[in-house]
Amino acid sequence: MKQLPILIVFILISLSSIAQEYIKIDEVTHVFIYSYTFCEEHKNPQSAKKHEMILEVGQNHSKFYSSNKAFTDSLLMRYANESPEVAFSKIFPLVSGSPVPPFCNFYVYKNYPTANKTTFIASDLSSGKYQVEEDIKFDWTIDINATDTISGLICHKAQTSFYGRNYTAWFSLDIPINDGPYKFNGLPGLIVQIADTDNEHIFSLKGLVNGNNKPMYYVKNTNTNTSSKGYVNALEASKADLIKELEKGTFSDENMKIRAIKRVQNRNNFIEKHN
Amino acid sequence: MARFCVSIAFILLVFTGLSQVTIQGELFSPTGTKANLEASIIISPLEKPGSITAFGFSSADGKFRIAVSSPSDSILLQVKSMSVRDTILRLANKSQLLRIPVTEQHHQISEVRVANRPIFSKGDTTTYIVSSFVQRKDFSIGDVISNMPGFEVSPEGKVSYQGRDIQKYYIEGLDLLEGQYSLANKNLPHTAVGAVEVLHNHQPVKAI
Repeated sequence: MKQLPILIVFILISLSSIAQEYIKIDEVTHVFIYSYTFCEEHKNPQSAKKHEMILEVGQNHSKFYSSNKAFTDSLLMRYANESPEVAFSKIFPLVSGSPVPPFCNFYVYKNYPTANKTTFIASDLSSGKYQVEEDIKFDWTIDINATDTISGLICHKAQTSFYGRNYTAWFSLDIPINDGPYKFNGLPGLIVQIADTDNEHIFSLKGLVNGNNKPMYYVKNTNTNTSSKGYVNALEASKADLIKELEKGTFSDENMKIRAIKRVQNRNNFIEKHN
Repeated sequence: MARFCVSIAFILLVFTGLSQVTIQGELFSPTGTKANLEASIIISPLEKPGSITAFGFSSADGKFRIAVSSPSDSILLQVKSMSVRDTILRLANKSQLLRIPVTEQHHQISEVRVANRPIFSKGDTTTYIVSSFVQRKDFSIGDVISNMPGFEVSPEGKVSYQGRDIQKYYIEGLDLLEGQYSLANKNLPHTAVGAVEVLHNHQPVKAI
């Protein structure tokens, strides 16, 4: 019964995403696996969740998304030629155990579709599909004297701020790739670890594998263009929709319903903050 | 007098510290082959080659421009990228225009794979990942459970955890065999089981 809210959301997602088109945009040379730890509720370390994210780096573009989403996408592509009902019945049992938390439900493409721009796509909100295209220039301050060894890589320290939070990043010149988790980039080496000063959003590198030139896909959809602020507002609106659904639903236990609603309500700490 | 000297020294330091130079340049491959010339350009002080005074990136055609403010006479310029060989130059600390030859070389990063932790706990549940405890001679899940720290399996197939007999033996959350669980323990192949979970404060009788 505890699983109910997650299941409802998941069914909506899978049905809407069966008929989408995948375009090959690049070949993946390296895959970096990050663990993303985030507090769902502001100033509540108890609400911390962990999710595995992957960064695919190609010759010209890169893509950052949830590893569970990567799994779902590969299945959707495998059954793309089946009728939606058949595809759904095949895919659903396989993915029902690996949900994507709402704060991780996005793709970040760098340098695509427009060169030198970062595109953020979230296609599974109740109110529709959104796209945020930005030209982000991070203003990094490098701390000359601070070095550390993280996961066997010699790292340098740099600081920046981004949408209401201040971040400390550790990057390594051993991997001279100008990229990093989420929208972060602009350093002479790969960002191995980045955390905000309150330690509410932490990305840290957990593994790296060669991409073996496997294709990198872009999910083609008609998305509504918006700004970062617009997306955060849409996220709040979809939260309100979910609460409405939960209030309508029948639960065996009234307390369980109150707890489920409370859990959704407390989800107020998206990585980008606008006040 | 002593104070006077100190203040002069200080002013000098500030002056040299403020002087900013611009280093412009272009990467090219001397063999004429078309290489991807996008690279990180890193400026470091001569005495500390590992640190970073300034950095920039070259564009796809190899052009770059970096502003440097460094107090030292000479600086090091490093070219780093996944597709060209690392190049280091020693430069005088003044504005200049450079043409840097680079050779194409594809770097390999050694792979790092992460394995799941064999035992982890959440709340009052401790989870043992079965594949981490399998030995070659093992066939049944009972064989593997006997390898897990904290468990003991008697020859009859009864399981005890930390010296106490287990109360219930659930398969997929169901008490299928009740007291006869040793049947499953001896015959269920370990390849069919992903994880063994121990519920420490389990209450089998649903009170209210």
